[in-house]
Amino acid sequence: MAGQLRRAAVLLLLASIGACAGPEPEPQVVHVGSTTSLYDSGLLDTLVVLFEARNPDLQVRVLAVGTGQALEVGRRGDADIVLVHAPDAERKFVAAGHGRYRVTFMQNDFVLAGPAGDPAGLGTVEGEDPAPEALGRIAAQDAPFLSRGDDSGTHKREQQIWAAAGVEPAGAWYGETGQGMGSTLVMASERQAYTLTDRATLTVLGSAVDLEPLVAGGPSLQNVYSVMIATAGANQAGAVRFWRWLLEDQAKQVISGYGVDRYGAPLFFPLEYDIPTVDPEESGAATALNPFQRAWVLLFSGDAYLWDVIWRSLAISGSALLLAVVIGLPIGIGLGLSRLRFKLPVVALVNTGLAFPPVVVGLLVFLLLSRRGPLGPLELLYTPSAVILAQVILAGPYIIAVTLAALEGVPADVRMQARGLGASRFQAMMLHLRESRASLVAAVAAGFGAVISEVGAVMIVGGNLLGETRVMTSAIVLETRRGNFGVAVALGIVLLVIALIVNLLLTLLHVRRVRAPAAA
Amino acid sequence: MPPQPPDFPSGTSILEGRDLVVEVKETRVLAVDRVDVIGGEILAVLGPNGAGKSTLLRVLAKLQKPDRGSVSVHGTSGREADALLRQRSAFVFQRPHLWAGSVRENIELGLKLRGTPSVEMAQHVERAAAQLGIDTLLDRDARSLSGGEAQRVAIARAMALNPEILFLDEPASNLDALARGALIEDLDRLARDGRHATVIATHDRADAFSLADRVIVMRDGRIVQSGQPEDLFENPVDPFIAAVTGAELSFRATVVSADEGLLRIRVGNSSLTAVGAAAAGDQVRVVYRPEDLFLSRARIEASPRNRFPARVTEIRQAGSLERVRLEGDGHHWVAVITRAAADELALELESEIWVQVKATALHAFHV
Repeated sequence: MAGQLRRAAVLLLLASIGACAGPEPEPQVVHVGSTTSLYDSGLLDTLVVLFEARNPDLQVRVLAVGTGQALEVGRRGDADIVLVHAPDAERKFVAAGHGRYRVTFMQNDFVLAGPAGDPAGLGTVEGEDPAPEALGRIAAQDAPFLSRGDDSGTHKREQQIWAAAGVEPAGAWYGETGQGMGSTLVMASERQAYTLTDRATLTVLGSAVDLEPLVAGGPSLQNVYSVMIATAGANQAGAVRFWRWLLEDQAKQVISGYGVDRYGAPLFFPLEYDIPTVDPEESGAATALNPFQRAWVLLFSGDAYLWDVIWRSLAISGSALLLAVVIGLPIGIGLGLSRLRFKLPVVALVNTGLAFPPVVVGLLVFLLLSRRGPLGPLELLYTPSAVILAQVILAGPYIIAVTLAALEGVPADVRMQARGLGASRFQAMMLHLRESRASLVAAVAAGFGAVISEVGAVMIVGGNLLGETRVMTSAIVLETRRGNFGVAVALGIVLLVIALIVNLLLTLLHVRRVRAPAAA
Repeated sequence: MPPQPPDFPSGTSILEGRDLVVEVKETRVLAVDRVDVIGGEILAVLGPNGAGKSTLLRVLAKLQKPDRGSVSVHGTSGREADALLRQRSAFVFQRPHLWAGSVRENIELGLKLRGTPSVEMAQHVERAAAQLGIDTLLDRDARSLSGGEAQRVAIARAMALNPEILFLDEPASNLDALARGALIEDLDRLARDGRHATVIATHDRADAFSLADRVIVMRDGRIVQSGQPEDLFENPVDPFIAAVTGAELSFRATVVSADEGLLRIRVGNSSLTAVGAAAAGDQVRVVYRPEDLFLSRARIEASPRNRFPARVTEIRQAGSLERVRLEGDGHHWVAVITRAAADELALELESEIWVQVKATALHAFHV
């Protein structure tokens, strides 16, 4: 377990160093920073495949992130071309000199989606621009609402509508997933919450989610997509070629026909525009912040978000470990002390539990807790309890196994020897445990290191909800995607420190054990 | 409850084992009809490795449940006997486990389990440590001790409890000769204070006979013979007993003079030096190991205190060794030497040779 932690730490370090160094100039690759909705709907892939077929000397790599992150990636020069849908942010981006040749080239619309029963009664809202009033109703009734909260175009639009409704969204009913549109829709479906989505992603997910489009139309829900070239991009020539191809007739036809065969109606609609004349001049590269400097500043300035995630991680993994110990220790002791026939198969079962891939545990817990699962009525999915449950399942067999090993690490007749000095059976058992305490402490520490550095199960059952289930590992995944390397590195440093402390403890205890020879 | 001196007088049976059977995978490792431990006595359980000595001790101490049979303590049985034994007995294992912590904490452990008040506890610890000569080790880490030191701590740990019955399972088995001798001497002194019964398992007949009031000889889980040491020498029931006790390798002698454990003894016409606890005029039995006899063609000046001429009366081959019977001054001896040594000495029947044996190789017991 400690080994896994060390490996993860090294990878993390390499990853952040790689991020600092910036992309190598690879003229044959065009990097596209794209909003997730374009990617999740499958349209971007279709366009890229067609483009690459006609331009074999170019290869397109898509970074599917939220609009805010896509712009950030473009600003740093990690993308050569940006595809987004937040007009205000785009204008600022261009005004600041980070982007050029912005063309608003297609549109579809946003819809307010929610459970079919529509408990907040959004379906009855009418008028030219129904969205602000609908969100107002949600807030007034404290109806559950999930926001992407990831600085994406959809999130930016949602914030604009809240502002228009005169509502500052906060409270138990309002959650932030920090994830893409598809994941957020799955979570909203599980929680039977409302959410703002682009129509394309909702249509593509179809029956996989239990949500209905309830409010549509009006200027607030209009969704226009723009493409622009990032000034700091390394491959300006390639970017211009992809940009031009996107705006020409062939791409237009693909866009207007996309989804008709499968969904019965197009998902996107091309707009009318003039293609600007491209001035083949050199571009100025923007300087990237050093993520390590930023990480230290965040850590020592007591950044609220960062420390919330850190304490939440410690609390969740600490609780999980405590529970695993409370459950696993007695089982381990029971197994260690028993000479019963069923001991061997149970030990084999426990060892199998050790080999559970965390992602599979996450999936099982998800199925168990999802609304249609056997424990669905408890409504535990995407709560800290769900994460704790998954981590207990991961850590439990581990605690049992190490307790067993710790007890077997002392001479077999140690309890008899205690009895030989007058100990009762119970006292002898306590003395036996006391003799194994160094190994037990080491084991529990290693268990903590293992659960706190786990990411697969946490993402699946926790959903990475801000202020609820966003822990260090899932936050690192999110912040790296967002381009907030400073936060990611800061969290990585905290995880490394935890790994260091755990290993130091293990080393100390190990050294003591080696130094102590068995009494002859 | 703090440790108490035994409240039963010496000479009465305090522990009674009846029809004890222990089986491991269908093999009987113990089958003992009857065994009693008498208050104040030192009972040695003698036998080769695997004879069931440790099992018998554990069963008697109620640390191991026999498959059949019963052990009663002061006439009580079951839980009551169990509680009584935990209170009043202490068991020193062949490989004692010293608990993590200091030597003092180790000696305190049994006292703490009995709820002894701390002032009293300190006194008991000091006393036991002094008895075993480990006062200077009290603050050492128990895991840093040598084998001999660890064994002494384990015995002190038991002695601190003032047990009515002290069980010792091969207490000297993994010590070197020097530490072993010192420990046996200490045990002899401590066991003879007459206040507690001691049950000691050992495969070493010298240990057994130098310590015990009564000896039980075991083989294959059974008691083959029991009685006072001299009975076993005089009337061995079979050759096994004779071999185990070394009856063939022993003789009676009279102590001429005694000086701090070093005895001048007379046997037949010759005078020898031996070790043991006895006084001038005492009758003793002396045992030795045949491999401790040195043979030479001529008289040589060397460290062994005993030196006498002898005549070879029998030579028997035993593998690469030769077993040589000798007669010197009207007394019979047995020596075991290698084949090569026998060839070098050109040993044959009626050969005249010199025998040397160290005083410390002749163990004398009062009879």
